[in-house]
Amino acid sequence: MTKNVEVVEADDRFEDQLERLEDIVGRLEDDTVGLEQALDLFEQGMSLAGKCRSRLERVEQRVSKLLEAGTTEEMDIETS
Amino acid sequence: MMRDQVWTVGALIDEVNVLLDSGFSGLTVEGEVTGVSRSARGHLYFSLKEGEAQLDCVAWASAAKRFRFDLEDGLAVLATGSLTVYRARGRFQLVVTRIEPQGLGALQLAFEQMKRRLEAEGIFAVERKRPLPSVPQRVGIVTSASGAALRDMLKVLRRHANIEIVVAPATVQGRGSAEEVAAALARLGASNLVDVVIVGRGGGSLEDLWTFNEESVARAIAVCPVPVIAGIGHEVDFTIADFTADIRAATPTQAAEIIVTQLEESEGRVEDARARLGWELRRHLQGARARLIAAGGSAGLARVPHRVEVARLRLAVADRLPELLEELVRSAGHRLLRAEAALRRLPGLIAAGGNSRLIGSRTEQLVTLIRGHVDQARTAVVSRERALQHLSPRRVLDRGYSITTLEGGTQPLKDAGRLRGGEALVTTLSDGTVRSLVVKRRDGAGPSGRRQSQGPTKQGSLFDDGGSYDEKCGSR
Repeated sequence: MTKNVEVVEADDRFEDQLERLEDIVGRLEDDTVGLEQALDLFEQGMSLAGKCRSRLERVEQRVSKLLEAGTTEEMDIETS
Repeated sequence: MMRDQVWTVGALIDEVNVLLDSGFSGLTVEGEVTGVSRSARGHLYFSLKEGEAQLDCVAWASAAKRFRFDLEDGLAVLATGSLTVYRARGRFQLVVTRIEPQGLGALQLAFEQMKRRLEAEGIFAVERKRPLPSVPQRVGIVTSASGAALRDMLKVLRRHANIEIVVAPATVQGRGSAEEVAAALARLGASNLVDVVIVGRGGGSLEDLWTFNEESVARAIAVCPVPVIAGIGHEVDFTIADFTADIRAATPTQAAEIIVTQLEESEGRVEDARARLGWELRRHLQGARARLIAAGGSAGLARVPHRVEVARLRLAVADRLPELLEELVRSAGHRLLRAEAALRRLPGLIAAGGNSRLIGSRTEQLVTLIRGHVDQARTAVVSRERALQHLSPRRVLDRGYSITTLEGGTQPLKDAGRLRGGEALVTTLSDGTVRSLVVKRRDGAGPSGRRQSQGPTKQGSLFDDGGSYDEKCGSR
Protein backbone atom coordinates (compact mmCIF):
# COMPACT_ATOMS: atom_id res chain seq x y z
CA MET A 1 0.00 0.00 0.00
CA THR A 2 1.40 3.39 -0.92
CA LYS A 3 1.48 6.14 1.64
CA ASN A 4 0.33 9.02 -0.56
CA VAL A 5 -2.48 9.66 1.85
CA GLU A 6 0.01 10.82 4.45
CA VAL A 7 1.09 13.68 2.22
CA VAL A 8 -2.30 15.32 2.65
CA GLU A 9 -1.98 18.05 5.24
CA ALA A 10 -4.86 18.85 7.52
CA ASP A 11 -4.88 22.51 6.58
CA ASP A 12 -4.74 21.89 2.85
CA ARG A 13 -7.14 23.99 0.90
CA PHE A 14 -10.46 22.32 0.25
CA GLU A 15 -10.17 23.09 -3.43
CA ASP A 16 -6.80 21.31 -3.66
CA GLN A 17 -8.12 18.26 -1.86
CA LEU A 18 -11.19 18.15 -4.05
CA GLU A 19 -9.08 18.41 -7.18
CA ARG A 20 -6.81 15.63 -5.96
CA LEU A 21 -9.89 13.55 -5.22
CA GLU A 22 -11.27 14.12 -8.71
CA ASP A 23 -7.88 13.29 -10.16
CA ILE A 24 -7.89 9.98 -8.29
CA VAL A 25 -11.35 9.19 -9.61
CA GLY A 26 -10.04 9.89 -13.10
CA ARG A 27 -7.13 7.52 -12.61
CA LEU A 28 -9.46 4.85 -11.26
CA GLU A 29 -11.47 5.09 -14.47
CA ASP A 30 -8.45 3.82 -16.37
CA ASP A 31 -8.90 0.12 -17.18
CA THR A 32 -5.18 -0.58 -17.25
CA VAL A 33 -4.91 0.13 -13.52
CA GLY A 34 -4.36 -3.14 -11.66
CA LEU A 35 -6.68 -4.28 -8.92
CA GLU A 36 -4.13 -3.73 -6.19
CA GLN A 37 -3.54 -0.16 -7.36
CA ALA A 38 -7.26 0.37 -7.77
CA LEU A 39 -7.72 -0.53 -4.12
CA ASP A 40 -5.00 1.92 -3.12
CA LEU A 41 -6.59 4.67 -5.20
CA PHE A 42 -9.97 3.89 -3.73
CA GLU A 43 -8.63 4.16 -0.21
CA GLN A 44 -6.80 7.41 -0.93
CA GLY A 45 -9.94 8.76 -2.56
CA MET A 46 -12.13 7.77 0.37
CA SER A 47 -9.73 9.41 2.78
CA LEU A 48 -9.74 12.65 0.77
CA ALA A 49 -13.51 12.53 0.41
CA GLY A 50 -13.77 12.14 4.18
CA LYS A 51 -11.58 15.18 4.70
CA CYS A 52 -13.55 17.23 2.18
CA ARG A 53 -16.78 16.20 3.83
CA SER A 54 -15.66 17.09 7.33
CA ARG A 55 -14.48 20.44 5.98
CA LEU A 56 -17.97 21.02 4.60
CA GLU A 57 -19.47 20.19 7.96
CA ARG A 58 -17.03 22.40 9.83
CA VAL A 59 -19.61 24.91 11.02
CA GLU A 60 -23.16 24.68 12.26
CA GLN A 61 -26.01 27.03 11.55
CA ARG A 62 -25.80 30.10 13.74
CA VAL A 63 -26.59 33.81 13.47
CA SER A 64 -24.64 36.30 15.53
CA LYS A 65 -24.16 40.03 15.62
CA LEU A 66 -20.76 41.68 15.37
CA LEU A 67 -20.40 44.30 18.09
CA GLU A 68 -18.31 47.46 17.98
CA ALA A 69 -15.65 45.82 20.13
CA GLY A 70 -15.19 43.08 17.54
CA THR A 71 -16.88 40.46 19.72
CA THR A 72 -20.12 38.74 18.75
CA GLU A 73 -23.40 37.98 20.45
CA GLU A 74 -26.20 35.62 19.55
CA MET A 75 -28.81 37.21 17.29
CA ASP A 76 -32.39 36.05 17.25
CA ILE A 77 -34.27 36.86 14.08
CA GLU A 78 -37.50 35.27 12.99
CA THR A 79 -37.51 34.66 9.25
CA SER A 80 -40.53 32.45 8.73
CA MET B 1 -30.42 113.14 -9.81
CA MET B 2 -27.75 110.52 -10.13
CA ARG B 3 -26.33 112.26 -13.16
CA ASP B 4 -25.55 115.47 -11.21
CA GLN B 5 -24.03 113.61 -8.34
CA VAL B 6 -20.33 112.80 -8.11
CA TRP B 7 -19.82 109.25 -6.83
CA THR B 8 -16.99 107.69 -5.02
CA VAL B 9 -16.13 104.30 -6.59
CA GLY B 10 -17.13 102.37 -3.51
CA ALA B 11 -20.40 104.18 -3.09
CA LEU B 12 -21.32 103.60 -6.72
CA ILE B 13 -20.64 99.89 -6.49
CA ASP B 14 -22.56 99.67 -3.26
CA GLU B 15 -25.51 101.51 -4.82
CA VAL B 16 -25.46 99.25 -7.88
CA ASN B 17 -25.37 96.23 -5.61
CA VAL B 18 -28.46 97.47 -3.78
CA LEU B 19 -30.27 97.80 -7.09
CA LEU B 20 -29.07 94.40 -8.30
CA ASP B 21 -30.08 92.82 -5.05
CA SER B 22 -33.62 94.10 -5.31
CA GLY B 23 -34.10 93.12 -8.94
CA PHE B 24 -31.64 90.31 -9.72
CA SER B 25 -31.49 87.94 -6.75
CA GLY B 26 -32.66 84.33 -6.75
CA LEU B 27 -32.49 84.14 -10.50
CA THR B 28 -31.51 81.16 -12.59
CA VAL B 29 -29.13 81.35 -15.54
CA GLU B 30 -28.66 78.74 -18.21
CA GLY B 31 -25.23 78.25 -19.75
CA GLU B 32 -22.17 76.13 -20.36
CA VAL B 33 -19.54 75.88 -17.66
CA THR B 34 -16.04 77.01 -18.59
CA GLY B 35 -12.78 77.90 -16.85
CA VAL B 36 -13.46 76.09 -13.55
CA SER B 37 -10.94 76.70 -10.78
CA ARG B 38 -11.10 75.97 -7.09
CA SER B 39 -9.36 78.10 -4.48
CA ALA B 40 -7.45 76.68 -1.55
CA ARG B 41 -10.36 77.65 0.70
CA GLY B 42 -12.81 75.72 -1.44
CA HIS B 43 -14.43 78.59 -3.34
CA LEU B 44 -15.33 77.75 -6.92
CA TYR B 45 -14.70 80.20 -9.75
CA PHE B 46 -16.00 79.62 -13.25
CA SER B 47 -17.84 81.26 -16.10
CA LEU B 48 -21.10 80.52 -17.83
CA LYS B 49 -21.03 81.08 -21.51
CA GLU B 50 -23.57 81.10 -24.25
CA GLY B 51 -22.28 81.91 -27.75
CA GLU B 52 -20.22 85.07 -27.47
CA ALA B 53 -21.67 86.05 -24.11
CA GLN B 54 -19.93 85.14 -20.90
CA LEU B 55 -20.81 85.64 -17.23
CA ASP B 56 -18.35 85.34 -14.33
CA CYS B 57 -19.59 83.12 -11.52
CA VAL B 58 -18.46 82.31 -8.03
CA ALA B 59 -19.69 79.71 -5.56
CA TRP B 60 -18.47 80.26 -2.04
CA ALA B 61 -17.08 77.22 -0.27
CA SER B 62 -20.17 76.89 1.95
CA ALA B 63 -22.37 76.50 -1.13
CA ALA B 64 -19.84 74.63 -3.27
CA LYS B 65 -19.52 71.75 -0.82
CA ARG B 66 -23.23 71.07 -1.12
CA PHE B 67 -23.02 70.49 -4.88
CA ARG B 68 -23.57 66.78 -5.47
CA PHE B 69 -21.50 66.59 -8.63
CA ASP B 70 -18.21 68.05 -9.78
CA LEU B 71 -18.29 71.10 -12.01
CA GLU B 72 -16.57 70.34 -15.27
CA ASP B 73 -15.85 72.45 -18.30
CA GLY B 74 -18.43 71.96 -21.01
CA LEU B 75 -21.22 70.95 -18.66
CA ALA B 76 -24.61 72.54 -19.44
CA VAL B 77 -26.09 73.78 -16.19
CA LEU B 78 -28.78 75.86 -14.57
CA ALA B 79 -27.12 78.09 -11.98
CA THR B 80 -29.23 79.83 -9.35
CA GLY B 81 -27.92 82.83 -7.39
CA SER B 82 -27.68 86.62 -7.21
CA LEU B 83 -25.96 89.16 -9.39
CA THR B 84 -23.44 91.43 -7.65
CA VAL B 85 -20.49 93.60 -8.54
CA TYR B 86 -17.30 92.44 -6.92
CA ARG B 87 -16.17 95.53 -5.05
CA ALA B 88 -12.41 94.97 -5.24
CA ARG B 89 -12.48 94.53 -9.03
CA GLY B 90 -15.65 96.19 -10.01
CA ARG B 91 -16.56 93.03 -11.85
CA PHE B 92 -20.05 91.86 -12.48
CA GLN B 93 -20.64 88.26 -11.31
CA LEU B 94 -23.23 85.69 -10.39
CA VAL B 95 -22.86 84.36 -6.83
CA VAL B 96 -24.15 80.83 -7.27
CA THR B 97 -25.91 79.04 -4.41
CA ARG B 98 -27.38 76.08 -6.27
CA ILE B 99 -26.52 74.36 -9.50
CA GLU B 100 -28.23 71.62 -11.48
CA PRO B 101 -26.96 69.86 -14.54
CA GLN B 102 -29.22 70.04 -17.57
CA GLY B 103 -30.47 66.77 -19.00
CA LEU B 104 -29.26 64.32 -16.36
CA GLY B 105 -30.23 64.79 -12.72
CA ALA B 106 -27.55 65.91 -10.30
CA LEU B 107 -27.33 62.48 -8.66
CA GLN B 108 -27.12 60.73 -11.96
CA LEU B 109 -24.34 63.04 -13.02
CA ALA B 110 -22.53 62.58 -9.72
CA PHE B 111 -22.85 58.84 -10.21
CA GLU B 112 -21.40 59.01 -13.71
CA GLN B 113 -18.55 61.18 -12.52
CA MET B 114 -17.69 58.92 -9.58
CA LYS B 115 -17.90 55.87 -11.80
CA ARG B 116 -15.59 57.41 -14.37
CA ARG B 117 -13.08 58.46 -11.71
CA LEU B 118 -12.94 55.11 -9.92
CA GLU B 119 -12.85 53.29 -13.22
CA ALA B 120 -9.81 55.32 -14.25
CA GLU B 121 -8.24 54.34 -10.94
CA GLY B 122 -8.77 50.68 -11.82
CA ILE B 123 -10.94 49.87 -8.84
CA PHE B 124 -13.53 48.07 -10.98
CA ALA B 125 -10.95 46.11 -12.96
CA VAL B 126 -11.83 42.50 -13.68
CA GLU B 127 -8.36 41.43 -12.53
CA ARG B 128 -9.17 42.72 -9.05
CA LYS B 129 -12.27 40.53 -8.73
CA ARG B 130 -11.81 37.65 -6.37
CA PRO B 131 -13.73 34.40 -6.91
CA LEU B 132 -16.19 33.13 -4.36
CA PRO B 133 -14.44 30.63 -2.05
CA SER B 134 -15.33 26.96 -2.67
CA VAL B 135 -16.65 26.68 0.87
CA PRO B 136 -18.29 30.02 1.72
CA GLN B 137 -19.59 28.85 5.07
CA ARG B 138 -18.92 31.79 7.32
CA VAL B 139 -20.94 34.62 5.87
CA GLY B 140 -20.71 38.24 6.98
CA ILE B 141 -23.66 40.52 6.26
CA VAL B 142 -23.58 44.32 6.25
CA THR B 143 -27.10 45.69 6.23
CA SER B 144 -29.75 47.30 8.40
CA ALA B 145 -30.61 45.12 11.40
CA SER B 146 -34.29 45.94 10.98
CA GLY B 147 -34.60 45.78 7.20
CA ALA B 148 -36.46 43.27 5.10
CA ALA B 149 -33.22 42.60 3.23
CA LEU B 150 -31.68 40.91 6.29
CA ARG B 151 -34.75 38.73 6.74
CA ASP B 152 -34.69 37.76 3.06
CA MET B 153 -31.02 36.83 3.19
CA LEU B 154 -31.31 34.85 6.42
CA LYS B 155 -34.29 32.96 5.05
CA VAL B 156 -32.17 31.70 2.16
CA LEU B 157 -28.97 31.09 4.11
CA ARG B 158 -30.80 29.17 6.85
CA ARG B 159 -31.86 26.60 4.30
CA HIS B 160 -28.36 25.24 4.63
CA ALA B 161 -27.38 23.45 7.80
CA ASN B 162 -23.72 24.42 7.65
CA ILE B 163 -23.68 28.19 7.32
CA GLU B 164 -22.60 30.50 10.09
CA ILE B 165 -23.77 34.09 9.78
CA VAL B 166 -22.23 37.20 11.34
CA VAL B 167 -24.29 40.36 10.93
CA ALA B 168 -22.59 43.75 11.15
CA PRO B 169 -25.52 46.15 11.39
CA ALA B 170 -25.33 49.54 9.69
CA THR B 171 -27.76 52.26 8.75
CA VAL B 172 -28.12 52.03 5.00
CA GLN B 173 -29.85 55.31 4.23
CA GLY B 174 -29.44 58.97 5.10
CA ARG B 175 -26.74 61.14 6.55
CA GLY B 176 -23.71 59.28 7.88
CA SER B 177 -24.90 55.92 6.53
CA ALA B 178 -22.02 55.58 4.05
CA GLU B 179 -19.54 55.90 6.89
CA GLU B 180 -21.48 53.33 8.94
CA VAL B 181 -21.51 50.86 6.07
CA ALA B 182 -17.78 51.40 5.45
CA ALA B 183 -17.02 50.92 9.15
CA ALA B 184 -19.12 47.74 9.36
CA LEU B 185 -17.28 46.35 6.33
CA ALA B 186 -13.93 47.15 7.90
CA ARG B 187 -14.96 45.53 11.19
CA LEU B 188 -16.11 42.33 9.48
CA GLY B 189 -12.97 42.21 7.38
CA ALA B 190 -10.76 42.59 10.44
CA SER B 191 -12.75 40.09 12.53
CA ASN B 192 -11.34 37.04 10.75
CA LEU B 193 -14.73 35.46 11.35
CA VAL B 194 -16.00 35.29 7.78
CA ASP B 195 -15.08 33.78 4.40
CA VAL B 196 -17.24 36.16 2.38
CA VAL B 197 -19.26 39.34 2.97
CA ILE B 198 -22.62 40.38 1.56
CA VAL B 199 -23.39 44.10 1.40
CA GLY B 200 -27.15 44.25 1.07
CA ARG B 201 -30.07 46.60 0.93
CA GLY B 202 -33.64 46.35 -0.30
CA GLY B 203 -35.01 48.38 -3.18
CA GLY B 204 -35.52 52.15 -3.16
CA SER B 205 -35.13 55.32 -5.17
CA LEU B 206 -31.80 56.53 -6.51
CA GLU B 207 -31.71 58.84 -3.51
CA ASP B 208 -32.41 55.95 -1.11
CA LEU B 209 -29.63 53.85 -2.57
CA TRP B 210 -27.20 56.77 -2.63
CA THR B 211 -25.17 55.44 0.31
CA PHE B 212 -23.89 52.72 -1.99
CA ASN B 213 -22.64 55.27 -4.49
CA GLU B 214 -20.42 56.95 -1.93
CA GLU B 215 -16.70 56.72 -2.34
CA SER B 216 -16.11 55.60 1.26
CA VAL B 217 -18.24 52.50 0.69
CA ALA B 218 -16.48 51.70 -2.59
CA ARG B 219 -13.08 52.01 -0.90
CA ALA B 220 -14.14 49.80 2.03
CA ILE B 221 -15.32 47.12 -0.40
CA ALA B 222 -12.09 47.33 -2.39
CA VAL B 223 -9.85 46.79 0.64
CA CYS B 224 -11.98 44.11 2.33
CA PRO B 225 -9.71 41.06 2.87
CA VAL B 226 -12.43 38.59 1.84
CA PRO B 227 -14.56 38.64 -1.32
CA VAL B 228 -17.60 40.92 -1.22
CA ILE B 229 -20.96 40.23 -2.84
CA ALA B 230 -23.15 43.28 -3.46
CA GLY B 231 -26.90 42.72 -3.36
CA ILE B 232 -28.37 46.19 -3.53
CA GLY B 233 -31.84 47.24 -4.58
CA HIS B 234 -33.49 45.49 -7.49
CA GLU B 235 -32.26 43.90 -10.66
CA VAL B 236 -32.18 47.24 -12.51
CA ASP B 237 -30.27 49.16 -9.85
CA PHE B 238 -26.56 49.52 -10.40
CA THR B 239 -24.57 51.30 -7.71
CA ILE B 240 -20.89 52.10 -7.41
CA ALA B 241 -20.79 49.37 -4.75
CA ASP B 242 -22.06 46.90 -7.35
CA PHE B 243 -19.20 47.80 -9.68
CA THR B 244 -16.63 47.61 -6.90
CA ALA B 245 -17.78 44.33 -5.36
CA ASP B 246 -16.15 41.06 -6.40
CA ILE B 247 -19.55 39.65 -7.28
CA ARG B 248 -22.70 41.58 -8.12
CA ALA B 249 -26.02 40.00 -7.20
CA ALA B 250 -29.28 41.45 -8.51
CA THR B 251 -30.90 41.49 -5.05
CA PRO B 252 -30.01 40.62 -1.43
CA THR B 253 -31.90 37.33 -1.81
CA GLN B 254 -29.86 36.44 -4.86
CA ALA B 255 -26.64 37.25 -3.02
CA ALA B 256 -27.58 34.66 -0.39
CA GLU B 257 -28.55 32.18 -3.07
CA ILE B 258 -25.16 32.50 -4.74
CA ILE B 259 -23.56 31.37 -1.49
CA VAL B 260 -25.89 28.44 -0.88
CA THR B 261 -25.49 27.32 -4.48
CA GLN B 262 -21.71 27.40 -4.23
CA LEU B 263 -21.76 25.31 -1.05
CA GLU B 264 -24.13 22.79 -2.57
CA GLU B 265 -21.98 22.58 -5.66
CA SER B 266 -18.88 21.79 -3.59
CA GLU B 267 -20.83 19.17 -1.64
CA GLY B 268 -22.13 17.73 -4.87
CA ARG B 269 -18.61 17.42 -6.27
CA VAL B 270 -17.43 15.55 -3.17
CA GLU B 271 -20.43 13.21 -3.13
CA ASP B 272 -20.15 12.64 -6.84
CA ALA B 273 -16.47 11.75 -6.53
CA ARG B 274 -17.27 9.37 -3.68
CA ALA B 275 -19.99 7.66 -5.67
CA ARG B 276 -17.70 7.31 -8.68
CA LEU B 277 -14.94 5.88 -6.48
CA GLY B 278 -17.39 3.15 -5.45
CA TRP B 279 -18.51 2.48 -9.00
CA GLU B 280 -15.03 2.36 -10.38
CA LEU B 281 -13.81 0.01 -7.68
CA ARG B 282 -16.73 -2.27 -8.36
CA ARG B 283 -15.86 -2.25 -12.02
CA HIS B 284 -12.28 -3.27 -11.25
CA LEU B 285 -13.52 -6.04 -8.95
CA GLN B 286 -15.82 -7.33 -11.67
CA GLY B 287 -12.91 -7.31 -14.08
CA ALA B 288 -10.85 -9.33 -11.63
CA ARG B 289 -13.71 -11.73 -11.19
CA ALA B 290 -13.99 -12.21 -14.93
CA ARG B 291 -10.27 -12.96 -15.04
CA LEU B 292 -10.66 -15.47 -12.24
CA ILE B 293 -13.46 -17.27 -14.04
CA ALA B 294 -11.43 -17.31 -17.24
CA ALA B 295 -8.50 -18.76 -15.33
CA GLY B 296 -10.75 -21.53 -14.02
CA GLY B 297 -11.55 -22.71 -17.57
CA SER B 298 -9.93 -25.42 -19.68
CA ALA B 299 -6.64 -23.60 -19.98
CA GLY B 300 -6.64 -23.04 -16.25
CA LEU B 301 -3.90 -25.48 -15.31
CA ALA B 302 -1.44 -23.70 -17.50
CA ARG B 303 -2.19 -20.51 -15.64
CA VAL B 304 -1.88 -21.52 -12.04
CA PRO B 305 0.51 -18.70 -11.11
CA HIS B 306 -2.00 -16.26 -12.53
CA ARG B 307 -4.80 -17.99 -10.65
CA VAL B 308 -2.88 -17.79 -7.43
CA GLU B 309 -2.28 -14.09 -8.00
CA VAL B 310 -5.93 -13.42 -8.70
CA ALA B 311 -6.95 -15.44 -5.66
CA ARG B 312 -4.55 -13.45 -3.52
CA LEU B 313 -6.08 -10.22 -4.75
CA ARG B 314 -9.54 -11.52 -4.08
CA LEU B 315 -8.56 -12.30 -0.54
CA ALA B 316 -7.17 -8.80 -0.15
CA VAL B 317 -10.46 -7.40 -1.41
CA ALA B 318 -12.46 -9.66 0.86
CA ASP B 319 -10.44 -8.41 3.81
CA ARG B 320 -11.23 -4.79 3.06
CA LEU B 321 -14.74 -5.40 1.87
CA PRO B 322 -16.70 -4.67 5.07
CA GLU B 323 -14.96 -1.32 5.35
CA LEU B 324 -15.63 -0.41 1.73
CA LEU B 325 -19.24 -1.46 1.93
CA GLU B 326 -19.77 0.49 5.08
CA GLU B 327 -18.48 3.56 3.28
CA LEU B 328 -20.79 3.01 0.35
CA VAL B 329 -23.82 2.49 2.58
CA ARG B 330 -22.92 5.54 4.64
CA SER B 331 -22.61 7.62 1.49
CA ALA B 332 -26.05 6.45 0.34
CA GLY B 333 -27.46 7.30 3.75
CA HIS B 334 -25.94 10.75 3.62
CA ARG B 335 -27.50 11.43 0.26
CA LEU B 336 -30.82 10.20 1.59
CA LEU B 337 -30.63 12.69 4.45
CA ARG B 338 -29.88 15.51 2.05
CA ALA B 339 -32.74 14.52 -0.24
CA GLU B 340 -35.03 14.30 2.77
CA ALA B 341 -34.02 17.75 3.97
CA ALA B 342 -34.61 19.17 0.49
CA LEU B 343 -38.03 17.60 0.36
CA ARG B 344 -38.97 18.85 3.80
CA ARG B 345 -38.17 22.34 2.64
CA LEU B 346 -40.65 22.09 -0.17
CA PRO B 347 -43.91 22.58 1.79
CA GLY B 348 -42.56 25.71 3.42
CA LEU B 349 -41.63 27.16 0.06
CA ILE B 350 -45.03 26.56 -1.46
CA ALA B 351 -47.09 26.95 1.72
CA ALA B 352 -48.50 30.22 0.41
CA GLY B 353 -50.12 28.23 -2.36
CA GLY B 354 -52.33 26.48 0.21
CA ASN B 355 -51.37 22.97 -0.89
CA SER B 356 -49.06 22.32 1.99
CA ARG B 357 -50.98 19.34 3.34
CA LEU B 358 -50.94 17.60 0.01
CA ILE B 359 -47.28 18.38 -0.44
CA GLY B 360 -46.60 17.17 3.09
CA SER B 361 -48.06 13.76 2.36
CA ARG B 362 -46.27 13.60 -1.00
CA THR B 363 -43.06 14.40 0.81
CA GLU B 364 -43.62 11.51 3.19
CA GLN B 365 -44.29 9.22 0.24
CA LEU B 366 -41.13 10.29 -1.49
CA VAL B 367 -39.05 9.92 1.64
CA THR B 368 -40.43 6.42 2.18
CA LEU B 369 -39.74 5.60 -1.45
CA ILE B 370 -36.17 6.78 -1.24
CA ARG B 371 -35.65 4.95 2.04
CA GLY B 372 -36.87 1.79 0.34
CA HIS B 373 -34.36 2.24 -2.49
CA VAL B 374 -31.51 2.74 -0.09
CA ASP B 375 -32.49 -0.29 1.99
CA GLN B 376 -32.71 -2.34 -1.17
CA ALA B 377 -29.30 -1.16 -2.28
CA ARG B 378 -27.87 -1.97 1.13
CA THR B 379 -29.32 -5.50 1.05
CA ALA B 380 -27.96 -6.07 -2.44
CA VAL B 381 -24.52 -4.92 -1.38
CA VAL B 382 -24.49 -7.17 1.68
CA SER B 383 -25.62 -10.23 -0.26
CA ARG B 384 -22.94 -9.61 -2.88
CA GLU B 385 -20.40 -9.40 -0.16
CA ARG B 386 -21.46 -12.85 1.03
CA ALA B 387 -21.42 -14.29 -2.45
CA LEU B 388 -17.96 -12.91 -3.00
CA GLN B 389 -16.66 -14.41 0.19
CA HIS B 390 -17.99 -17.84 -0.75
CA LEU B 391 -16.01 -17.68 -3.95
CA SER B 392 -12.73 -17.06 -2.24
CA PRO B 393 -10.33 -20.04 -2.37
CA ARG B 394 -9.88 -19.87 1.37
CA ARG B 395 -13.63 -20.30 1.90
CA VAL B 396 -13.59 -23.27 -0.42
CA LEU B 397 -10.95 -24.88 1.78
CA ASP B 398 -12.99 -23.93 4.84
CA ARG B 399 -15.90 -25.84 3.43
CA GLY B 400 -13.81 -29.03 3.55
CA TYR B 401 -12.30 -29.30 0.11
CA SER B 402 -8.58 -29.69 -0.34
CA ILE B 403 -6.00 -29.40 -3.06
CA THR B 404 -3.46 -32.15 -3.62
CA THR B 405 -0.27 -31.90 -5.62
CA LEU B 406 2.73 -34.16 -6.13
CA GLU B 407 5.40 -33.22 -3.67
CA GLY B 408 7.44 -30.49 -5.31
CA GLY B 409 4.79 -29.91 -7.97
CA THR B 410 2.51 -26.93 -8.46
CA GLN B 411 -0.31 -28.44 -10.48
CA PRO B 412 -3.31 -29.78 -8.58
CA LEU B 413 -3.84 -33.48 -9.14
CA LYS B 414 -6.92 -34.26 -11.18
CA ASP B 415 -6.62 -37.97 -12.02
CA ALA B 416 -5.29 -40.92 -10.08
CA GLY B 417 -4.05 -42.81 -13.13
CA ARG B 418 -0.60 -41.31 -13.15
CA LEU B 419 0.22 -41.98 -9.54
CA ARG B 420 2.57 -44.72 -8.49
CA GLY B 421 2.72 -46.38 -5.09
CA GLY B 422 5.24 -44.71 -2.81
CA GLU B 423 4.99 -41.29 -4.40
CA ALA B 424 4.78 -38.39 -1.97
CA LEU B 425 1.79 -36.03 -2.12
CA VAL B 426 1.15 -32.68 -0.46
CA THR B 427 -2.43 -31.80 0.44
CA THR B 428 -3.47 -28.26 1.33
CA LEU B 429 -6.31 -27.99 3.85
CA SER B 430 -7.84 -24.85 5.29
CA ASP B 431 -5.37 -24.50 8.13
CA GLY B 432 -2.24 -26.33 6.98
CA THR B 433 -0.72 -28.93 4.66
CA VAL B 434 -0.29 -32.66 4.96
CA ARG B 435 2.41 -34.78 3.36
CA SER B 436 1.36 -38.33 2.53
CA LEU B 437 2.49 -41.36 0.52
CA VAL B 438 0.52 -43.31 -2.08
CA VAL B 439 -0.14 -46.82 -0.89
CA LYS B 440 -2.42 -48.15 -3.52
CA ARG B 441 -4.22 -46.84 -6.56
CA ARG B 442 -7.79 -47.91 -7.20
CA ASP B 443 -8.50 -47.31 -10.88
CA GLY B 444 -11.79 -46.13 -12.31
CA ALA B 445 -12.65 -43.77 -9.47
CA GLY B 446 -13.52 -40.68 -11.48
CA PRO B 447 -14.81 -37.38 -10.19
CA SER B 448 -18.09 -37.53 -12.10
CA GLY B 449 -21.47 -39.19 -11.90
CA ARG B 450 -22.87 -41.11 -8.97
CA ARG B 451 -19.44 -41.72 -7.59
CA GLN B 452 -19.10 -38.13 -6.70
CA SER B 453 -20.83 -38.69 -3.39
CA GLN B 454 -18.07 -41.11 -2.55
CA GLY B 455 -15.53 -38.43 -3.08
CA PRO B 456 -14.46 -38.02 0.50
CA THR B 457 -14.23 -41.75 1.11
CA LYS B 458 -12.36 -42.29 -2.12
CA GLN B 459 -10.00 -39.55 -1.33
CA GLY B 460 -9.51 -40.93 2.12
CA SER B 461 -8.63 -44.32 0.78
CA LEU B 462 -6.16 -42.85 -1.60
CA PHE B 463 -4.14 -41.53 1.19
CA ASP B 464 -2.25 -43.16 3.82
CA ASP B 465 -1.39 -41.09 6.77
CA GLY B 466 2.06 -39.97 5.84
CA GLY B 467 2.74 -39.17 9.43
CA SER B 468 4.58 -35.98 8.55
CA TYR B 469 1.89 -33.86 10.14
CA ASP B 470 -0.65 -34.44 12.79
CA GLU B 471 -3.63 -33.65 10.56
CA LYS B 472 -6.28 -36.30 10.30
CA CYS B 473 -6.69 -36.10 6.57
CA GLY B 474 -8.43 -39.43 6.27
CA SER B 475 -11.63 -38.09 7.70
CA ARG B 476 -12.50 -36.30 4.51
